[in-house]
Amino acid sequence: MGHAPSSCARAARRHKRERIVVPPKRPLLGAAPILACVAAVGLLLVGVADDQATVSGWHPNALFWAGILLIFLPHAQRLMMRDVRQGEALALVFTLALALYLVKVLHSPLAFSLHDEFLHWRTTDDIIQTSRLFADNPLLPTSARYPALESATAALVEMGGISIFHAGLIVVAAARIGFIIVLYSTLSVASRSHRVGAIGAVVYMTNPNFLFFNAAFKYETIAFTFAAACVFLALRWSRTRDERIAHGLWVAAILAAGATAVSHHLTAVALTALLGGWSGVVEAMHRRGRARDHRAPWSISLLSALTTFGWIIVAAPVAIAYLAPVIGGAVGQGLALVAGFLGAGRTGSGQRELFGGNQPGGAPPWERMSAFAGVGLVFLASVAGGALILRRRLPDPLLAVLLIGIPAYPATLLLRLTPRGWETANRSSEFFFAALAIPIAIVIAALLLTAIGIRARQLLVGALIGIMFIGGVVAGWSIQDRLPGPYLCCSAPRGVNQESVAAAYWARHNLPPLSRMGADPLNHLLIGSYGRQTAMTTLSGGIDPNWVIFARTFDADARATLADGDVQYLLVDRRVATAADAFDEYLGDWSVATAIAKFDDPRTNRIYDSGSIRIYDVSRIWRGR
Amino acid sequence: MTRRLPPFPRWRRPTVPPSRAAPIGAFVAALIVLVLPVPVALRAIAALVVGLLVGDAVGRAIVPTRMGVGGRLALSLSIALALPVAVALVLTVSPFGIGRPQLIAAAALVGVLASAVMVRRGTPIGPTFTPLRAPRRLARPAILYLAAVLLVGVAFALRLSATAPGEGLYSSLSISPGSAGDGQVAVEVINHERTTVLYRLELELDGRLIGSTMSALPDGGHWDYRPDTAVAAGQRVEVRLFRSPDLTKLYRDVNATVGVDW
Repeated sequence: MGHAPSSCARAARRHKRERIVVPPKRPLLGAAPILACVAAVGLLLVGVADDQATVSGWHPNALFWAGILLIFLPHAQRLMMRDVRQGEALALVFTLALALYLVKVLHSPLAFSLHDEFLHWRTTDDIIQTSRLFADNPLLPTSARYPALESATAALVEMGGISIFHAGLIVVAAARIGFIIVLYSTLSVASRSHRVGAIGAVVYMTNPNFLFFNAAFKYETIAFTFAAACVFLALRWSRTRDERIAHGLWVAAILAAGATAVSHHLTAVALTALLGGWSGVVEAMHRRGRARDHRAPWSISLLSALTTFGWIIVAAPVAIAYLAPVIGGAVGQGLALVAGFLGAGRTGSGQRELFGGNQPGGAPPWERMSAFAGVGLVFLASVAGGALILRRRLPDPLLAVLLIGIPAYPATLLLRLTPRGWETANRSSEFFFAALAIPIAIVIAALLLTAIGIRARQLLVGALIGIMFIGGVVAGWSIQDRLPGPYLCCSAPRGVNQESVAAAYWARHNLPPLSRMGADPLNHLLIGSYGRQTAMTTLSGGIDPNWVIFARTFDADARATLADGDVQYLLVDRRVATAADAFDEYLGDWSVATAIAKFDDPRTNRIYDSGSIRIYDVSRIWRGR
Repeated sequence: MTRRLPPFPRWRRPTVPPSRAAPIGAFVAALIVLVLPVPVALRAIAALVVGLLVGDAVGRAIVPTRMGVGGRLALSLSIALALPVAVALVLTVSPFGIGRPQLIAAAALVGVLASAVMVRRGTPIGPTFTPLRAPRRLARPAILYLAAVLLVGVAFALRLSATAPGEGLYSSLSISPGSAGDGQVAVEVINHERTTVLYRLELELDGRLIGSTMSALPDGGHWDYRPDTAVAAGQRVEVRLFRSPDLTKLYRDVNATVGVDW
């Protein structure tokens, strides 16, 4: 039963009103517009760095670091200040995400150049050519079964009349910016502080894959947006009391879970696990009478599980065959490494050198130290943040679940020391940082409230987050791939050049589509995508054509391999001789030159020759065996 | 005593607030642009406008509540990205397939349905544009953002002008069947040398020289050469390419034993 406010309370309110001082009008969006200009100057520096790297010019690496730090640090510093309002924070997060995305676009502004981008280019091209989904993709069969990114891109290509590359850039930009805004909104709602949300979004951007790998045209990029949207909507739904609104939020969350399920296998499984864990924690707290959110999000969890595993079983069973060896190999080598450390196995067996080893072109010492310092800071800050969250009597159930990321993240770092596990570890960081972002953001917010002077605090925290960012970039992307440069055989991005692309397009326009064709590990990406041929890969159940390309002669084994794969054409890039070490496993006591010379055989037809690249029709070799 | 009647209510033209009319107008205009033969840049912008507005409309139809700018933007972008996926999944099992007319029709249909839901609920259609009470406050951020866009443009111009020295300097030579079953071969030379080059081609059939011809090609030029001599199945064709400045030094060669399917 309500009662009239006492005269004392009225007087207090009047007194408070009178004391309100109207602040001077702040500029619209605060410092965001001027920081956008600063970020643009940073991008200009990155552009100069890329330019200098292309011509092997003046200190490209130093210019690159100056550029990206000029983009990142002022935004991060501003977002940590207490007087940042929500609109300004949103504008800053938006600008920062876009500017960091443009760093990757500046690296390859004319065409895709990263390995995974060609795999998804092929699926997009298949959708456009066949007007249907699910055409077989020999480069990555799972890509055709998770066609969300490619459907959105193909729709833009069809409706807008632009190329796959340009449509892909737009879709990835939308997905990436959408993801960061959803993440900021989710963390703001979960922590009930838009400041912590903004700092959390900045912390996420320090993850090793954010600058380049997450900006690539690949299916995780869009799946992350849908998964984050699902969590955001479920969180809003769990906190609303209005039935009409709750219904809409529930429907939207289910749609987002469904979109994730058809976008990317691991992201969908991770989302289901997160929602399941969240439901479990809410349920447990509710039973003890400690949950304020009485709606356990079980329905969303169950529907997410149903769509995720239903899609895998019905549409994408190939995902299991694809993931099992990758994860199994990583875990196996990780365990062997631990056994080695404990003295139960051979020490050093199957270990991988970090930062490209000590060979010329490896990361300089200061970068290596930054990477270690960054990892250490992430670990310490997340542990401290976790402790701060657990000190609360009623931690938010979602935050409580995310705390699992704190012990799990260092465990994945061990996998970086193994040849098969490093990729799994590297890719998992984009998931774990979503969990670590809040604990670290809480620690940063707490540090900013400590007793030392405000300037000193901001400088200290800025330096710490700067080290995390530098460490992330160094750990995530090798120094030679960070900047463009002269041709470097035989992997993306530096191995993709005009001559290889022209050969692939020649195959597209002059050979029957979907001919069975083999090539080295880089060129097979190009002939499978731009060339629209059935590139031979073991991943799609075919043969490994390198056993034939690097064989000494067309002996019985080579002919049998060609026959098994029903291979009609082989593309031979003579530049592989410059990176013979990469093909040691295929070579015996003969050289790459000897292996390539065998193609001057009267039974082969050399139908294309551009100097470095030759395409041979080899069907008569094995058909007449 | 007479009782004065209240004045007859004057008819007033119903007004649609700009906040409601603008998104609908933009959506219809963009759809019209998509079906017209307009330049690609305009079509691409129209496609983006349609995608974003449909995403926003569906978002507002499903979740009509205020979500804050960030939440609303996030929801609209996510739905704008998810809708083509849902439409593609439906179209792929339909007899129509995924194509431009089908996608435009689907966008129009979904946009109209979402708008109908909003009208029924009384939700404002599209983003609500508040009147600009202080346009002077907008001037500073607008100028600064424009300056940022210009700087980014300079960065891209600089990047696009850079080419690695020696990168991509080559000519390609290829041989393929002329056209099905006529016993012809087609030889193609493409110049990627960033300068005009004089080429000489020699054609051998079963080890016998049957022709030689020359041509100068500018950078990017194609030379399609179709010799008159018919080739029978089982014959070996060899094509040799020489280039200036030394037209006697072999530069490229291709060869093929003509198959019965040529």
